[in-house]
Amino acid sequence: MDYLENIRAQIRKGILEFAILVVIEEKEIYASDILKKLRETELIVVEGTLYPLLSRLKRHELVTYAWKESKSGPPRKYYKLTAKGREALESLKDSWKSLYTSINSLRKNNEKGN
Amino acid sequence: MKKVINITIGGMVFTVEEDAYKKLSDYLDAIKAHFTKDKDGDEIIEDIEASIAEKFSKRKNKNAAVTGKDVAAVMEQMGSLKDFKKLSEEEDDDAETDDSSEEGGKKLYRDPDDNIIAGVASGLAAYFGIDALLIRVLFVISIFFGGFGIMLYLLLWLVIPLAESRSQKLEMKGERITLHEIEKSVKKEIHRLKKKDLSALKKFGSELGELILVLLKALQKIIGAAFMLTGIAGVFILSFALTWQLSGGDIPDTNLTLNDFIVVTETMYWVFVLSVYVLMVVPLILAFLLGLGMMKNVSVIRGGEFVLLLVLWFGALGLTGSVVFENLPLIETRFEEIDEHYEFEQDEYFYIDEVRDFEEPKAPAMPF
Repeated sequence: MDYLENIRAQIRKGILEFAILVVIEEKEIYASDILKKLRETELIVVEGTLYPLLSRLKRHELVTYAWKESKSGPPRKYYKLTAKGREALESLKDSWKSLYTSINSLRKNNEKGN
Repeated sequence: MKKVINITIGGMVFTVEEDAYKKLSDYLDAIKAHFTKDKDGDEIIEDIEASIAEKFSKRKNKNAAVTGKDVAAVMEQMGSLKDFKKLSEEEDDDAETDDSSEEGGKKLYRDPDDNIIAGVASGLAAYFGIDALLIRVLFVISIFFGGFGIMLYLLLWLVIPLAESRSQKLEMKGERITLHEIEKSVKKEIHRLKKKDLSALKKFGSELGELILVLLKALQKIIGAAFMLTGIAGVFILSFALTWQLSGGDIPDTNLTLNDFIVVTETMYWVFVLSVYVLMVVPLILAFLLGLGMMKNVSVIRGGEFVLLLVLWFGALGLTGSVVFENLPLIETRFEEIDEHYEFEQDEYFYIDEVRDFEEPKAPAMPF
């Protein structure tokens, strides 16, 4: 893989869980709809990679799910944030902000320097 | 014309064309193999299967049989095994192992590429970094000790999983042997054998396999208990013997102590006694741990500890062997003495020599 593309992939992977938490924050949602939203942003392309992430979030008690019947197909898991998940999300949002600020301040420094 | 197969996936029944079935089951098997080590593996596979079921039931012509095309479309959305692997590459650091046994050791697998029977010997050879031929020779030799080698081989066949994927073949880490894994590998092995067999044997094979599994489960506890008892009793008896020896007691029925058999310095003598003790007690400890694991259905033997015990045992073997070898003539003399002493006692009690008739041994009949 192209080195630059590799770096991009690393960044995407780093924020995937954060992105999933953001998607779930709004309302209870099931895997396929989470996937749809993530696909719109091109953060995730294949469905299979979503399930390990959801299981991991569940194991760390950041999300929980409830079963709901579906008209087409087997019952679905509807995910929502736990209290712990909300806390984690808030703290991740802070981290995100600080990352953003860090890069921006570095860039501003450059502009001043030039 | 195509044959169709009924399957259930995600709790729903679908009719699938034969080639599509093959494709789907290969895909799912690969995914399962990939997630076997994952703590959430079962759940992830359930999720994936449920999603596949949903996709199948959302097809336009949902009452028609699932075709190879449908399966390909599902696979494309779900992602290839490569995608899964890519994701888990950096998760290995996150893998939060709850056991500390994975301490840089190697992983014990059976090698399917270099096998004579089931790849046990070549797997062991890879694990210990020695030539497979040596292990094979040891196995063959050990068969002459009451079939010990055969039992050991069968046990190892059950216990050691087969290296299936390329990553497993490359993997050289230590892993705990749990009963869950044993059961899984037995199932896998049966599956593998079923695939191999001729179709006429298939049914018989699968029935036999199920039967073996049931029997194995029942036997597991019994064998476990037996191992545990043997181990515990053995350790107890040996430890008693050691204490007896330390307090200077005689070997029963003689007035000799172990000291009379060998000529070594005082320190060396105690080292020798201890190494004899270790030599006998290590297999008993292993038997006990194995039994305990079988009873409790959890693993109690960790790779590191196992290697430590093995090293201890070989050390003890070397020490004992060298001392015994050096003192071989003396030991022989002592044993002769014991025999004489024993005969003498018998004579005393039964006055055998007074009634003993010496008959000339009859000359064998000449063949001509």
